[in-house]
Amino acid sequence: MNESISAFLKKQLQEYSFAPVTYRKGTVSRSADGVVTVANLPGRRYGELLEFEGGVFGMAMDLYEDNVGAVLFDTAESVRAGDSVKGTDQVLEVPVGENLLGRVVDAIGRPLDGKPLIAQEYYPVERPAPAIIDRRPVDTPLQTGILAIDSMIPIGRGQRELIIGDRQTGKTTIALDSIINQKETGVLCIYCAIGQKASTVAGVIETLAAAGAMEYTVVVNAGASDSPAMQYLAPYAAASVAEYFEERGKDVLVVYDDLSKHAVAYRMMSLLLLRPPGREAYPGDIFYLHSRLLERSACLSKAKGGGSITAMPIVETMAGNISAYIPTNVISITDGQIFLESGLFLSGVRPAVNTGLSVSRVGRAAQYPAMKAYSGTLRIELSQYREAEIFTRFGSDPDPVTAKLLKRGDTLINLLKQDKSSPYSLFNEICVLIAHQEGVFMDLSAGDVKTHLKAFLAHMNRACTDIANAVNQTGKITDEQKNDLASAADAFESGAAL
Amino acid sequence: MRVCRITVPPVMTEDTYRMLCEKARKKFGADLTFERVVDDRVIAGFILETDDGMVYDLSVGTQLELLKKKMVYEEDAI
Ligand SMILES: Nc1ncnc2c1ncn2[C@@H]1O[C@H](COP(=O)(O)OP(=O)(O)OP(=O)(O)O)[C@@H](O)[C@H]1O
Ligand SMILES: [Mg+2]
Repeated sequence: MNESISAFLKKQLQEYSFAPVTYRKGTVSRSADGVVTVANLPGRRYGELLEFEGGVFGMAMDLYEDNVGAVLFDTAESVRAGDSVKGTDQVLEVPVGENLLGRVVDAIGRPLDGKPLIAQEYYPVERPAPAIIDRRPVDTPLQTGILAIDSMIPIGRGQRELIIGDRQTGKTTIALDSIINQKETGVLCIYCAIGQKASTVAGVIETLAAAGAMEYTVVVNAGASDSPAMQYLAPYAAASVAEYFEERGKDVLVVYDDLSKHAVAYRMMSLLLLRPPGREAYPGDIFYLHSRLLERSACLSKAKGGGSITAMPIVETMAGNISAYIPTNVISITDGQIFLESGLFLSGVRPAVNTGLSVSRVGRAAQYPAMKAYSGTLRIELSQYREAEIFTRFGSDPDPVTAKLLKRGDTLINLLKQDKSSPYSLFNEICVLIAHQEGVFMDLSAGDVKTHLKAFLAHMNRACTDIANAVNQTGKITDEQKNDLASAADAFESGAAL
Repeated sequence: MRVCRITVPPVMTEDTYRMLCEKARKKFGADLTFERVVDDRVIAGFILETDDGMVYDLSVGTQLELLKKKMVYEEDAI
């Protein structure tokens, strides 16, 4: 042991070549809340990594004639006015690669789970989005395992689908369920937590680990107690981690939870940097902040390896106001949104998706044919139901046709309810829709639907194993299979003595 | 008048220091004046800071620091 150490030291010393170290040096002239002004730094560059006394790092964000505005990555207390600052001639880079899977890292790639991290490669945090010719249209579905979404708001690989809603409406749960559902699909996942409570993030990691999803997931965390600079950088770092896989032909799902807090962190940073405030005190480039991030999600052409990054940014609204500043910005950048409503959530409709206000602008083209065959009329049915429901509030007795419409709608709403962490396979999603089509649960109360649905799915999985396998593998369904499924559903209805 | 700061170890002799100043004037201009700082962390060698913010670090202390970093992070571990 001792010999090997001394041999190692000897080798290191023999191989060591003395080279003078030259660098540029400036002085801290002001330091406040993680933002510092550095004077007399020659040859300053935008985005340059700066090293402060005591090993604290920061990044140059504003260049002036005689000074530099920089943000610190670590706690601000250790940096004082008069300290010296080294220019490193480097831009910020984060570790990327397969070794990150299953790990929890901070915004600059330092492990947070107490184990060492050996990086395969380093990527700059800020990278250009793929060019137009390097992209191809979205054509493969990304199954979330959530029936309400896969049937009516389908998401394709390479799409950017916003999850938007008030606080505590199940936004994170939808993103996590989608991650959990990627097991065995080969899709790698990245969960980027921005400005969240440490306890919440710990809960997320626990949920993912319990579902066996950490193996193919990277968690990038910049918590509420981290500096605004770290919170600002986290999503870009997550995008770089994703791009490593994308460039190697993999499909990646990235969740940014959430971009409202990201915008707030950036606003704080900008105000401290004395940049002029605009609407709601956000700086002028707040739109570009998110557009350049989300433009990095793409579906690459075959020539570029065919990988993709699907982005699921999350935005929190106040009192359901989706026309506020940040929500409208992000809605306009993304390819659709899943709108969650607290009214629905509180009345027990979970996931609380408002299907009227939710859209997917490209995913329909990527929906599995088997799902397309059954989901075509769902949206219309739901909106007709909502309309009729409003009418009945006036107290009139509905005519038989309307009564039937209401009953069917009611049952459909109950069928679309889904517990958290229990994604459906494609086949089971179709089974639920068949149950709706065949009216299997029409005579049941809301509470009974849930228990009977479980039995129904078990029955269908048992009775139609071959079809289940075929549908799950190919995503297609033949007319003959459709008939078989319908009769299996009817058999359940008559046999179950409902 | 341009001021150059030279950080030297306590063991550096007057002769060596004068020679150092001589060489620095040759490289950066004859009008240089020098501020001498003694710091035992330098160990041997010197650190020269010009008035335009450039630092030329030829100290053994820094080299040892670099060697240490290289050994600790040999495997690129962070
Ligand atoms: N489908 C569901 N079934 C049952 N409970 C659910 C469902 N979805 C979410 N919940 C519960 O609702 C609560 C809020 O969910 P979640 O944390 O996902 O909401 P959020 O919108 O991300 O909240 P926040 O605004 O705090 O980030 C959690 O306790 C979660 O367990
Ligand atoms: Mg959340």
